[in-house]
Amino acid sequence: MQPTVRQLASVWAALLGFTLVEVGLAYPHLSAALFLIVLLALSVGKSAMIIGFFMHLKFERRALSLALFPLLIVFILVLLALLPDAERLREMRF
Amino acid sequence: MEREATWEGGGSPFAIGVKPLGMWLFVVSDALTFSALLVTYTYCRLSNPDWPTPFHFSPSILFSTAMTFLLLSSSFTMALAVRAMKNGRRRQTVRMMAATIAMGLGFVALHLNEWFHLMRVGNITLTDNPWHQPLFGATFFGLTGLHMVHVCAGSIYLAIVAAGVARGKFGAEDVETSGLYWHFVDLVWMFIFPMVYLMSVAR
Repeated sequence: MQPTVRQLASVWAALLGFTLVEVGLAYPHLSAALFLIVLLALSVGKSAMIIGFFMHLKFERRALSLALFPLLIVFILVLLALLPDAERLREMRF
Repeated sequence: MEREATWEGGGSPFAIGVKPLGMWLFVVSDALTFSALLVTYTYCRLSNPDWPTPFHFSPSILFSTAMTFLLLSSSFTMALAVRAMKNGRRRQTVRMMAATIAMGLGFVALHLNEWFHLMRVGNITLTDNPWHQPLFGATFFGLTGLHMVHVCAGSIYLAIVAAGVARGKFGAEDVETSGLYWHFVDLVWMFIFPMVYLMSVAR
């Protein structure tokens, strides 16, 4: 089973649209933390579309996703757990 | 009575060939590298109130948005190439892969142009910038440079596979495997563009 051309084209159009939303959000003055969270959410959504349809993981056996992604997600969450420390460092400097 | 667990995955538990499986494993390991670099960049960015914001709408944001569009469009054509090859249409596969490579090279050309603009006009180098934050140059050029190397390597890889497809040497699995690599390069940029460029727009 493979994605149809219409599905691929819809994903492509949606990805371009989300990119424009990201650029549009860069100009109102949002706090850095809020902007970061919104951008991360959009990036994760875009990645899911790329992985699911372009890399056709959605059409592969679920065992493949279960073998590949839990490790990656845990690793990234551990890395992200370091980010609040950046705020502490900022306060120590000034 | 306790039941023994038995292996029922057969000879191919993931139901994909060994080449795409190998590429998936590479993609996950490379994702760990880029994740670490991106978190490092974001940590430096958030911990420093004087972090440089050198990305003016024109040319930096305009160019990087165009670069994002190019990569997304190249992923679309690559997905079409994989589909065409699975349906046995070699000529269309080669055409779609050629379009993918052209957009990849367009990405590199715009990126280099944007880099040189930052160096010439913005006075940003690997070790210094007008904000006197040497970590900016190190992390920015390190991260985007590594990604650009991936795009260049991917363009060469796709060219080799496309030539093989044209000669009848490579099959659908080879095109699919090269496609996985290309989509991964696109996917990484979906994080670099917002985290690096959009988080540091000049106001």
